[in-house]
Amino acid sequence: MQESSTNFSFPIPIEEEIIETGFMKEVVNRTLMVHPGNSLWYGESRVGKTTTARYIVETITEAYDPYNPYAFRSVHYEVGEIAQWSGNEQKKGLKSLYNAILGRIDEGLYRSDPLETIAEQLVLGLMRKNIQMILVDEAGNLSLDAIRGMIMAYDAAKNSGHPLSLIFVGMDDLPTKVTKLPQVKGRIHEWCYFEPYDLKGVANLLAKLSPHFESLDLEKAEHMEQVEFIYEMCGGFPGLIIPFLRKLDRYQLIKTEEITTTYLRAIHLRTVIDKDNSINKSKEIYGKQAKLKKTK
Amino acid sequence: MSKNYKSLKSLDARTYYHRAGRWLTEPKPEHKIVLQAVEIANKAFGRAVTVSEIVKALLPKEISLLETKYSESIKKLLHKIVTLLCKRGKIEILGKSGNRKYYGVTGALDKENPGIPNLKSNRQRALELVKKAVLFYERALQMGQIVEFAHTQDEYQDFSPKSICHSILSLKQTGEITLAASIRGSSKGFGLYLPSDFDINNFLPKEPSTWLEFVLDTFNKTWEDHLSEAKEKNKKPFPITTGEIRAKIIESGKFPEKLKQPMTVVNSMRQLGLSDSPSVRKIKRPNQKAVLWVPPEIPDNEVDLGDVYAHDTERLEEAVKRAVLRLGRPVELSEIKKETETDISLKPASPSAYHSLLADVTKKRIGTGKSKLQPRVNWRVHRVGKFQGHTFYHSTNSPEAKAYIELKSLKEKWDGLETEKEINSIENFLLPTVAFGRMLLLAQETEFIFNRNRKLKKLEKILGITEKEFKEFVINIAQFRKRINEWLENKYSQFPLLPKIVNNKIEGLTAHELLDLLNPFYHRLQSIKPQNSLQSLIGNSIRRFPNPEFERINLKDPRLAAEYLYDKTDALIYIAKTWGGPESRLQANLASNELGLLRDAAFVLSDLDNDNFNVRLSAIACLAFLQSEKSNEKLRNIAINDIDAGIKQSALWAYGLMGGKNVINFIEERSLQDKDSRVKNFAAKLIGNYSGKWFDF
Repeated sequence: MQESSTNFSFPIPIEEEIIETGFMKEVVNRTLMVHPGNSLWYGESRVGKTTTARYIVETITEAYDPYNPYAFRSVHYEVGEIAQWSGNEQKKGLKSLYNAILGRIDEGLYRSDPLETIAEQLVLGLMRKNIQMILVDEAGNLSLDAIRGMIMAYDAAKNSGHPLSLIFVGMDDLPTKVTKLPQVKGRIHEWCYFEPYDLKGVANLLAKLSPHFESLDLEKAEHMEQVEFIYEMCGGFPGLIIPFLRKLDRYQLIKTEEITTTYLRAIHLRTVIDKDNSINKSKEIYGKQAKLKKTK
Repeated sequence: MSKNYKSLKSLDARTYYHRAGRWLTEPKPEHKIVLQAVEIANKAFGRAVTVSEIVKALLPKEISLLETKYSESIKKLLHKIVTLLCKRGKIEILGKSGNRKYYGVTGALDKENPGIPNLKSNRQRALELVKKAVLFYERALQMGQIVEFAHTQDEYQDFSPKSICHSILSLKQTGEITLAASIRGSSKGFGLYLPSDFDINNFLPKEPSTWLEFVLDTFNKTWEDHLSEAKEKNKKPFPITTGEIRAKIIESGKFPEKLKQPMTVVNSMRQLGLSDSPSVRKIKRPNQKAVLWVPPEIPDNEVDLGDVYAHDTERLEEAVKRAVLRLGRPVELSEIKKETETDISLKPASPSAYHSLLADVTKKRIGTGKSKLQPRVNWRVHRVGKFQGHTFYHSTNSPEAKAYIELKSLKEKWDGLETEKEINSIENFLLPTVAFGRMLLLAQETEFIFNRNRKLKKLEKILGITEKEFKEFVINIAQFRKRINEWLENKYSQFPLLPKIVNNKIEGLTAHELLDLLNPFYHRLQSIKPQNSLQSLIGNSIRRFPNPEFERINLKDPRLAAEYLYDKTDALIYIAKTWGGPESRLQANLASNELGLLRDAAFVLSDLDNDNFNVRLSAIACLAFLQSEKSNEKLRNIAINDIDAGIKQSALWAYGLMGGKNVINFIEERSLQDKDSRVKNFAAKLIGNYSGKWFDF
C-alpha cells in the first residue's frame, strides 16, 4: 500500500499478468487453424474466456510486422445486449462491429443506409486497418439475428477478398442459439469449450500465481487442506481464484499473519457475511415493495 | 466405579467429562469443528459473536456432518455445543444484548472491550430522532420532515422511513409524542409532532411552513393592502388577480422551485377555494380568461370589477408591465399577447399586428403631427435585445434588463459547448494532440464566458434569474474553468511544441456558397431559396456561427451582409457522409469522431508522426477535411514513406481531396512505383475511376 500525507493508503495496482496455460495455447492454435473462419468459445462465467481472448490479441499485436504480407491485426471488445424482438437486430449487430472497429457511426447514415452498404463500409475499414480477427466477447447477449448481421460482415469481407475471422465468446445460450439457424451454424468452423480446473489444475494454477502456494507441500494434510478450501470456494474458476489471492495479499500487507486454513476461511467469511446481509435486507425492503406493486 | 469417581472428583470438572464409561481429555471432533468456527467468526468480525454468526462460519459439509450426527437443526445444536464448550472453558461469554449472547474463544478477545454492537429498539431510536430534529429546527415537525432529517444523520441511515413512521405513531399512542397542530397543503403529512415533554407554545411554527399556507398568507396580506387602498380612495376594493399573488410570491423570494410551473399558483388558489372550509372565493367573468379572488365572505357587489384604458399605447404599456411583473424579466411578443388575452380591457383596439404596435410603442421619438419628431415623454416600453430571433421588451431600459439577454446568450453558448460531455469523453479521443486542442479551445470559450460573467456580477440584480441560480451558473463555470486549466497545466509538458492558443477562426461559407458546394451532389437544390429551405435540408448537420465580418443585411458584398456563416469543414463532412462513396464516408466518419469544434490544423499535424497506426489514420482523415495548406506536403510524404499500406492509401485519398500539387500525376506515379501492391492497386483505382468529383470514391 502507498502511504499518503494523511494516514490513508492507496492500494498499489497489481499489474494484470496473463498466465499462459496449455489449454490457452491449444485454443489459440485451434482458432488460428481455421483462419479465415469463425469460431465459438463457450464456458461458464470466470472460467478464463476473456483472458484467453486478451492473450490472443496481445500475441498477435506483439508479432505484427507491417512488412510481413501475412501479418494482421486483431480487435477484442465486449458487446452489449441486443435483445430478441428489439427490432432491426441485424443492423444493430453490424453497428456494434462498426463502432468497435471504426468508432461511432453517423446516426443519419445508419438509419438511411441498407445493411449491405454498412457492411461494405465496415469491410473497407477492416481492409484499411488490416484487421483480420475480431473477438466478440459476451456474445451470449446477442440475439440470433444480431449474430446473423455480424456474420454478414464476414460474408462481405469474403466477397471483397479480405480474410476475416469472427470469434464469438460467451456463455448463456450462445451455442444452442447459433445452431438454430443453418446460415449461422454453417459458418462456425471451430468450437472451443472452456472447463473449470479440477483440484490438480487449481493446485498448479495457485502455485503459478502465489509464492505462498508454491511453497506448500501438498503431501502434508494441512497444506492440501488450503488448496481444497480454495477449490471448494472458487470451484476451479480462475476468475474467482485470482481476486481471492489479491485480497489475501492485501490483508497480508495490512497485517502479516501465518496463512492457515482458518485464516483463509476468516477472510472469505468477511465477504460472505456482508453479502448475505445485503441480500437479505434487499429482499426485506424491495421484496415487499415488489409484492405491493403486484397486488396493486 | 464409585472409587474411580471419588478419585476423579478433585479434577477440574470443565476439563474432564464422563461419557459412556470413558474419560475424554480432548474435545470431540464435532466440538473441534464448532470451536474452529468460533475462532474463524471472531477473526472475521473482529469481536465476540452470536450463535447465528457462528453458523455462518461453518462450511456446508461441516453443517451436514453435524446435522447427520445429531439429527437436530444446526442452530439448536450449536447452542448446546457452545454451552458445553463454555463449561469446559474453551469458549467464554463476553457480553449480552437483549436475549443474544456473544461468545469468544477463551483468551482471544479483550474482555473489557469485546466489541458487542449497541442495539436499541426502534421506538427508543424514533423518540431520540424526533427530539433531535425538533431541537434542530426549533419547531414541531411533520412526519416527512422527520424522515428527511433522519437521512442527514449517519446513525439513522439504516432506519427505514416506514419504521420511523410506525414508531412515531406508536409513541403517539402511548403518549411519548403529541400531535401539536394540523396543517394543510403538504405531501409530508398533516400533523406536527412534538415530544410530550416539550412546551407546545415554544415549538409551534411562526411562519407558514407549507406552500399552500404561504399562498393563503400572501393572499390575506394582499387583501389587507387592497382594503387599505380602497379606504384611502373611498372606493370599493379591487379583487386580487392570480398574477398579483404570483408577483408577490416572486418578490418574497420563497419557494422558487414552485414557480417554475406556470399553473402552480392558480391550482393552489383553486385548492384553497375548493376545500371543505374554503379560504378564498373565485370570481369568474364571462369572456375573460382572468380569474379574480376575494375572501369567501365578501359578495360580488362589495368589490370593484371595472377597468378603463384610453388608447392602445396605454394598453400595451400595461400588458408589458403585467407580463414583466408576472415573469420577472424582459418579455417577448407571445408573452405580452397572453396578458391581453387574459384581460379583455388590455386587448388593442387597432387591427394592426402586435409587432407593429409594439414597434410604435418602443420608439424613442414620436411624430407630433407637424412633420416633427420629438422625444417621447413617458417611454414605458423598451426593446432590450434579441435572442434566437425573438425581440424582448421591458418597462425600463436598465442594464439589468439588458443583462437578461446577454445572460441567455451566454447560457446558450455554454450549453452548446457540452463541457461535461467533452471533458468526460476525453479519454475516448484517439488523437492526443487533437484532444489537447479541443480542451484548449474549450478553455478559451470558458474564459470568454467567465469574463462576461464577471461584468454581469457587478450589477445589483439580473432579471429573470434568482441570485441563487446566477450564483450557481457562475460557480459552475468557475469550477469548470479551474478543472480544465488544471488538466491543461498537467498536459502542457507533454506537448511543448503545440501552440498555447487555439486559432478559433472558422473557414465559413455564406448560404449561396454552401449551395454552390452542395449543388453538384443534389440537383434539387438549384430551385430552392437559401434562407428557407436550406435549413430544412441540412438541419443541424452543418454548424452555423455568427459572421465576425457582418455589417448590415442589405449590403452588396455577401460576406458583409451575411449574419451567419456555415462551417466549411462540417459541410465537406456532410457531403462525404451523405453522397460520398465508401472511401469518403470512411474518412468522414474518422474525422467527425475526432474533430469536434476544433478547426486549427496545427493540433493535428503532429499526430501524423505518432507510432500508433490508428492515430495516424484518423489524423489524415481530419486534415483532409480541415483543408489546411500546411498539411499538403506532409500528406505527400506520408503517401510515399509510411511503413503501413493502409496509411499510404488514406494519405493518397486525402491529398487528392485537398487538390495537392499535381495530384493526378502524383497518384499515377504511386500506382507504378510503390513497393506495396495494395497501395499500387488503390492508386490505380483512384486514377481509373476519377470523374472530377473526389467524393465519388
